[in-house]
Amino acid sequence: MHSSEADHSDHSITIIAEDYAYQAPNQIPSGWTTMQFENHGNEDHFLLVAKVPDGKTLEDYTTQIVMPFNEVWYALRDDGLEQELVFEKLMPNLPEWFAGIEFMGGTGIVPAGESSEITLRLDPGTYILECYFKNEDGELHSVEGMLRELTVTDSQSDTTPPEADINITLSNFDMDIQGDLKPGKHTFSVHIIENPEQGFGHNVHVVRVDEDANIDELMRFINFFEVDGMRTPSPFTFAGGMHLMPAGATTYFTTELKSGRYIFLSEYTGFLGVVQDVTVE
Amino acid sequence: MVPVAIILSVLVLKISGSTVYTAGKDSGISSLTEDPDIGEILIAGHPVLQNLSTEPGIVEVELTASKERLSLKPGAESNVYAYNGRVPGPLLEASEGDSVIIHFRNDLPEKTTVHWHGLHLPFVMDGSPFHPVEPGDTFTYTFRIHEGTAGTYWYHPHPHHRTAWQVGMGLYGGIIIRDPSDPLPDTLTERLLILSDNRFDEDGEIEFAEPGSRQERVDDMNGREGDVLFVNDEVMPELSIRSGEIQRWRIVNASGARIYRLGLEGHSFTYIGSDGGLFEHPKEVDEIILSNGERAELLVHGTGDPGSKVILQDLPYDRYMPMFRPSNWDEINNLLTLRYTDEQPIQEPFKVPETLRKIPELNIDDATETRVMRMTNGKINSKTMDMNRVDETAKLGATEIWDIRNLVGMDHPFHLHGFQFQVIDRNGKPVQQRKWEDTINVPGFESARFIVRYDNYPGLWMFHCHILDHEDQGMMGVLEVK
Repeated sequence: MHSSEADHSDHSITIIAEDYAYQAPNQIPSGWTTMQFENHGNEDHFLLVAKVPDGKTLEDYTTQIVMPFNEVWYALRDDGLEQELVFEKLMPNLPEWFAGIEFMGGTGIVPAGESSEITLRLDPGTYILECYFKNEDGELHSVEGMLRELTVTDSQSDTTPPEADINITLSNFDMDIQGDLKPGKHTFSVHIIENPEQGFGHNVHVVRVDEDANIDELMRFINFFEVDGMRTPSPFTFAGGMHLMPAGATTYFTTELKSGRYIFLSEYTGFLGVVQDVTVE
Repeated sequence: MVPVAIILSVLVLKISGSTVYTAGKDSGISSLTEDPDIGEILIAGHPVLQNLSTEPGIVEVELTASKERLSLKPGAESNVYAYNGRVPGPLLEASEGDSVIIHFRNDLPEKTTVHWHGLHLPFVMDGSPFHPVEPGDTFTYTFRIHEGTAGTYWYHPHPHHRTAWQVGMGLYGGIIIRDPSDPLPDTLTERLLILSDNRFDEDGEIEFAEPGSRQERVDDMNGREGDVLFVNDEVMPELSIRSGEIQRWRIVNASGARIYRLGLEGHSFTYIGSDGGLFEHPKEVDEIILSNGERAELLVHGTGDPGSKVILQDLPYDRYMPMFRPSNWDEINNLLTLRYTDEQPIQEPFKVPETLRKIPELNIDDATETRVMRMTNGKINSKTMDMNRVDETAKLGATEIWDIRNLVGMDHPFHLHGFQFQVIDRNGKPVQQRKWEDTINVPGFESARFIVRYDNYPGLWMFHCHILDHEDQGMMGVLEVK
């Protein structure tokens, strides 16, 4: 689609999240791109950027990846499927090419009315933009329509990554944050140094919490497979972050921090301790 | 959809080829047929609302919505909602310049409205959700038919949250507005084909999805489609044509969700008109796509041999998001049989004019505003309909551009009440054909822009997706013109 609101210059674009869709350009050049992500909806949204194998399309991703996930989600939500059995039920229904998907970043969770900026490096190919947060009825935003194809062309953007003042390193069991976390706008770099044994990398969500916040509740909420996990209305105040990337990749996100307590946690390994509880002052 | 005796008599009439006589042009009425059994006048194949007025320029009719028990699906009776006891309701016929008076009575067990889809009329006469008619109440709709309106329209209920239900129960009917100076000869056989679909349970009752069921979820997303396809009041009716003859077909998509891709095996059409009447120039096409609420006018050329037959088909059209696409979406649905009479071919003494009429161009340089409509599933601009909220405000007489962006992977047909518009471009590519429309289908991830001028009538005008389930979910907003 064409869009007068989205900035189509070579290396900087605007992606608008609605309930439930993205307004975004159809194609961008390869290389570094800065994405201004604006949530114009009434619910929390995020952006996951997934590169699909050559020849695969949004149609394939939807029918062969999203739908099996959605079936498993329905089994959890409606039929009481135990979380331990999720992958046993899911994996036989996924195509072989699922292993060839490369998740190349995106944003953390961005509340309604807020925005986030990310900078990521994309190679030429076909990408899928997806939000799998849930609405109040427990339906995935992706299934409601929040899926979109993005083509990254062979032409190169000439942009360079921003200067980061905070550096995060993620491994399978650790999150290291270097820098001076004080109130104000910060640009974070996130570098992934290893992949989980069976997984696609790591991400970071930034959450502003009260001093007496129950972090176990936050861990439950960030777990997609919990019936009330990642579901509207969100009881937590998210402040952006970055989404799944594989080992060796680096991305950047910019967010405004206020004085107070923040939790930085990885969605899939937070329960293993890949989390940082920090105070900004 | 009408009493069985009438179905049979109409069928006999159609198969026999009917006795067609032509009124003079001045009468503004073209093809009339008379049902020999009951003496009922049919226009374009439809019973017509009887004009109670003898004054020239006045069309005064009575219309009642009521609960009835009729045969819709062959071999079964169903509880239905009907206009004047019929599904579809009787045809409303008027001419440009006429004053139309409709005495409406609501004998339904719930409130309703009658929306005169596509007509340019005062706000209080639009039959929008702002003016419900309570059960047992009456309302008299009065409006004047403006010059340039001639075309095919339809009427249907529009109560907030209940439109899909009431249309699904049978409330819809056709409207033909005549132009005394119609450029096409009134000797052409004229047919009005109102397309609809429905779903029935094993007892023959109209079926809607159970609350909370997976089918309800599918219907919420796709809109409710039926597996029984009707043309007017019949399933797979048989119409006749003589080899060499040209017929004028007016087609209405009255389905709540189904989008039709129409083709007639081995035949092309001359596409002559859409929502707001005749195009400026005719166009030869092999098939057309007709989304919900839209109308088309076609010239069908009888190029087949005497005694042969051909099927009007609804060809596969993928309007769905992949996760909700029905498994049989790519099957062809047969809609009607067009049978050639055994008579020798005739040479229709008529050449389609290169220019059907002059349509004034709305100039984009006059546009004072561009309104962006971002359509997602169930919402426009991330909002659902609120009867107490005005979403857009414009000045009476202003010319504006609407930029309709479909951000999701399924089609959404966008309808604006009260004012016909001209499509400027689709996905940035200019649209060449100049025509008036009130509904534009925007396929998944595509966009379209149209230009409109808010003439004559201030008020609160609805804009919405014309997949009726979406409209009921709140994929609708309010434009205040003042």
